[in-house]
Order: sequence, then structure tokens, then C-alpha cells
Amino acid sequence: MSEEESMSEEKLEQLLAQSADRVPVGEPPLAAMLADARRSTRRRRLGVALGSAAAVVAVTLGASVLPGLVSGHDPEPSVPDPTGAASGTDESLPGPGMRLVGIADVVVEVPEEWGTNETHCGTPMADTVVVDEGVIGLCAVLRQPEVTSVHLSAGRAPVEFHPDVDAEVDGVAVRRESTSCGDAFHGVLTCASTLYFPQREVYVRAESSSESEPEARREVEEALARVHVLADRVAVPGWRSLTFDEQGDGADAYLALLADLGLEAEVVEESHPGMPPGFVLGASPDSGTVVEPGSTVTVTVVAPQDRLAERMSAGVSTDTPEEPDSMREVTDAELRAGADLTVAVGDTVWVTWNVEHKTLRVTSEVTGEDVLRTEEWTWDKWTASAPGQATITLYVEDGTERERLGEVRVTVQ
Amino acid sequence: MDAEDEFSEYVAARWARLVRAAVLLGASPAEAEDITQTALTRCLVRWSKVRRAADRDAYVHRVLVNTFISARRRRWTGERPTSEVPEQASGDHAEQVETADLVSRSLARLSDEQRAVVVLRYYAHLGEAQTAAALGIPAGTVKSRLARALKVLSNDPDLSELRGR
Repeated sequence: MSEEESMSEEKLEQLLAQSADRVPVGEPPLAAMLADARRSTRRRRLGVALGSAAAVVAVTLGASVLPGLVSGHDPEPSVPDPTGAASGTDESLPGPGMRLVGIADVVVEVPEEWGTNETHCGTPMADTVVVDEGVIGLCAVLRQPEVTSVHLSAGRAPVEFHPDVDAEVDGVAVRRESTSCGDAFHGVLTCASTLYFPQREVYVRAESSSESEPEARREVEEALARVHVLADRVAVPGWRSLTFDEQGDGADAYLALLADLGLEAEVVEESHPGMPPGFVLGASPDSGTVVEPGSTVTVTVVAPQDRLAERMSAGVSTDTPEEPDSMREVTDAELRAGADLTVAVGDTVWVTWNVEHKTLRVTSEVTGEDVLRTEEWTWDKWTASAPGQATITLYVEDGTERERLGEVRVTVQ
Repeated sequence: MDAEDEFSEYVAARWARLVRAAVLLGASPAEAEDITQTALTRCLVRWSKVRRAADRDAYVHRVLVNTFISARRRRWTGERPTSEVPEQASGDHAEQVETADLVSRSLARLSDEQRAVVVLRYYAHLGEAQTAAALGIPAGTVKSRLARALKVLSNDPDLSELRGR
């Protein structure tokens, strides 16, 4: 293939624009968006934040009263229970062969053999409870047959949640979107229903796929009937689902969540170049686990970074231009330890780095420029031009000083 | 100007491009309008956050990509897929249509990750840092994904004849 034939960026831009322009686009449904957003904002204001001590007022009314408890179709959310206190009888939970997983004091009892977060691209692959799932890969997998899953999530009501039933769980008011079923893709019939605890801003969604609709409906109803509000225990809060924004400059947001629930924190630091210091990497016991108030949770966070070279991470990649799948990468840890890389004449080698920092950059120096030739108008990309040895040394710079990050010894064969 | 006015202006300026970006990501045109509507509504609910965001377009595209992913995950709740796509092309547009079909077929050869990077970078015209922010990945990863995607597209026989033109 000659140079002129390869896909240029301009040509691709042009092709995408041409292709996109063919798509007929209607007028934006502005009125509907404004109305939906207003409805969602109002729903949020009605919610009362869950207080730190959860204001435990036990008014035992028996076990959960859930399926089928309909108080008429009411499009506006109602606020029946101002205290939001649970009246459940906790000691019996979990029942034999079951375990509890939750968010704050909202829990679901699931069979012990169920997995936790057994998903791929966000789709459950086996019977599982999903809690604090964190980042979901940008990919899609179809629903598998005969899988039941319960998803717990925290946050405001999404605009696509359309509750149609008022119900109660252990004396706490909830909004419910009744079970609906779709026969979807490749014949995998799936039923689902969602419960929302407005005062706690917690969702519980049950999904089940089955060959028969009654079976799938039954699984969904059973899963939601095992949702409880605990009076005297809480779940370890989620850390995977905290966003970069929420993590702020450190673990403060997460430590505050623990403190709000009456849990103690023991912080352990781990060195991770390029990651924000204080960023939460894990919790033990892990999020969703139900514990007694006052329990200690071990929180692993990114250690403070005193040296310039610790504040950035970098990598060196190589590939053979004709083979898109030939890419290899020397990782940050390998660079710091001093790595070796063997490439063939004609291969490209380039530096990658994490550019979250506005003031820091990674620079490189090469010995053996007859072996690695700098590509035109780039300074961090080379072509292996002749057999021999070269060394790429990487530095972190902040404008006034620079510090060595690591190096890779390149052998061109 | 209050949030709703600001939002209305933003929608008027960006609606068509956002819908088309969703189509290039892999949604059907009808689905793309739904996804864009949901994404923009979510943005409006948190407009104060959008307004404070260092980069409004990157923020909105991030919401759009997330909405696209979750819509695909729960597509089963909605409509059935149809095997026949209404074909509106005729006569003069034949060549244009062919180009568009070839482009969407070629995009389908990319991995989802590569596809998203290509659409945000070369259709939505987000910069490298913006694309990285919109997808929640390091800019180095944007670079390497783009490099690989361009290679796949360069080797695509469907596009080879278009390149010559």
C-alpha cells in the first residue's frame, strides 16, 4: 500500500460527516426534556437525606409488605413516612443459606451461592447481586437465559424511572415500577421491576430471564420480597462507584460516608505513580457487606507523592505498522525497574503518558539515534531504522525541574 | 440567562450533531434521538454541574456515551429489532448512500472502544484531552486507540475505493 492510499485523518473526518449528514434528524423535543427535568428535580427535593444515626425508631409492624400493595395510581410522588425509620426484625436476617448485601440500611437477602458483580459489560452472566459495580466497559453483551440478578444502586431517580405503585418495605415508603417483561433479543425473555427508596436515594432492581414469562415474573417478585430495611446494621459504602469528582483531592468523601454510617476507618497507603494521592483503591470488608455499627473498615488509598517522578505514569508502546494487533506495551512499573524491549526494523515505538496533570509532562531522551529515527514533526515517536541498541530515558518535568522516571533499552533486530 | 434558557440554546445548536454522533456510535436513528433526549435531560437536571464543567462538550458527550451504553444494555425492555430498514435512497443520492453504508459497515469492524474514540475525535471534533475526559480514559490511551482504529480502517477493502476519490 502506498502512502497516499492510507486513511488520512482529514479523509476520515470527511467520510464520517458525509455518512452522518444522511441521517434525518427531527426537531429536538425541548418541551419534553424541560418537563422531565423539572419532574425529576421536584422528586429529588421531596427526598429527605438519610441522617447519620438513621433515627432508629422501631415500630414493629411485622415483615415486609411488598408485592401487590397498591394505593392507587398516583403520578405525583407521595411522602408518607417522614421519619424513614425501619421497623424490621433484624435478628432473623439472613435466613439459612442466604447472605445480605446492601447500601446503607437497605439490604437484599440473596442465596449464598449467588455471585457478586458477576457481570460482563454490565450484563449479568450468572445469578448475581450487583452492588458498587463501578466503571462498566464500553461494550455490550446480550442477556443470558435463566439468569436472575438484583442490582443495588445509590443516587437520584434517573429520568427514565417511571414508578406506578406506592409500597412499603419494613414500614418505609418506597416507589415501585411494576414488573414488565420483554421478549427482546434472540428469544431471551426478561422481566424486571424496580424499587426506589426516595429518602435514602437507593434503588433495587430485580431482573430475571427465563423461557417462560410466569417463571421470570415469579423470580423478580421473590427477589424483591427479600428486600429489607435494617434497624441496627449497615452496609459498607461503595467506593468503586465514586467518581473522580466525588473523590476530590483524596479519600475524604469516602471517609465521610463511613463516618456517616457510624463505621471506623483504618487507612492503608499504597504507592501508585500518576494516580491522585488519597484516591480510594479498595475497602475491606468490601462494599455491600453488612456489618455492625462501629465496625472497622480498612481503606486502601494512593500514597502521597513527594517526588516529581511519582506524580506521572508513562508507558512505551511498539507495534509493526502492517499488523494492527501487534501492539505491545512496556508498563510504568517495568520502566521504573528498567525494561528491555526487542523490536524489528520498521516497527514504531512511542511514549504514552497520563496527561491528567496540566503542569507536568513526560519528556524523553534517546541514545542511538541511528537506530531509532524520530518521526517527522513528533518528538515522542520513533521508527526502528537499523539493527542495533538504543536507550530511551523518560523524565517528568514541571517547567523548572525534571526527574528521571525510568528507561527502556531497545534492541532492534 | 437562567439554566433553562442556556440549555435551550445549547440544544438548538447541538441537537442534530449529538443525534448523529449516537448513530455513528451504533444506534439506529430512532434510538439515537431517544438516547440524545435522555442524555440531554440528565444534563439539564445537573445543569449547574454542566455549567461549571471545564469543558461542556466533553461533559455532554460523556453523558451521551454513558446513556448509549446503558440503553444498549437494556434494549430488551423496548422495541423488537426489525430486519428491514426503510430505504429512502433513490437516483441522485445513490452514490452518497453507498458511501454512508460503506462507512457504517467499516465502523462496525472497529471495537466499541475504538469506535467511540473515532466518533468523538473525528465527528464530534473533541480534542485529545476532551475525548479522554469524555471517555474517562488517559489521553495516551486515546492516542493508541486512534492509531489502531486508523490502521483497521486503512486496511478496510470497503473504504479503499473511497480513499482514491
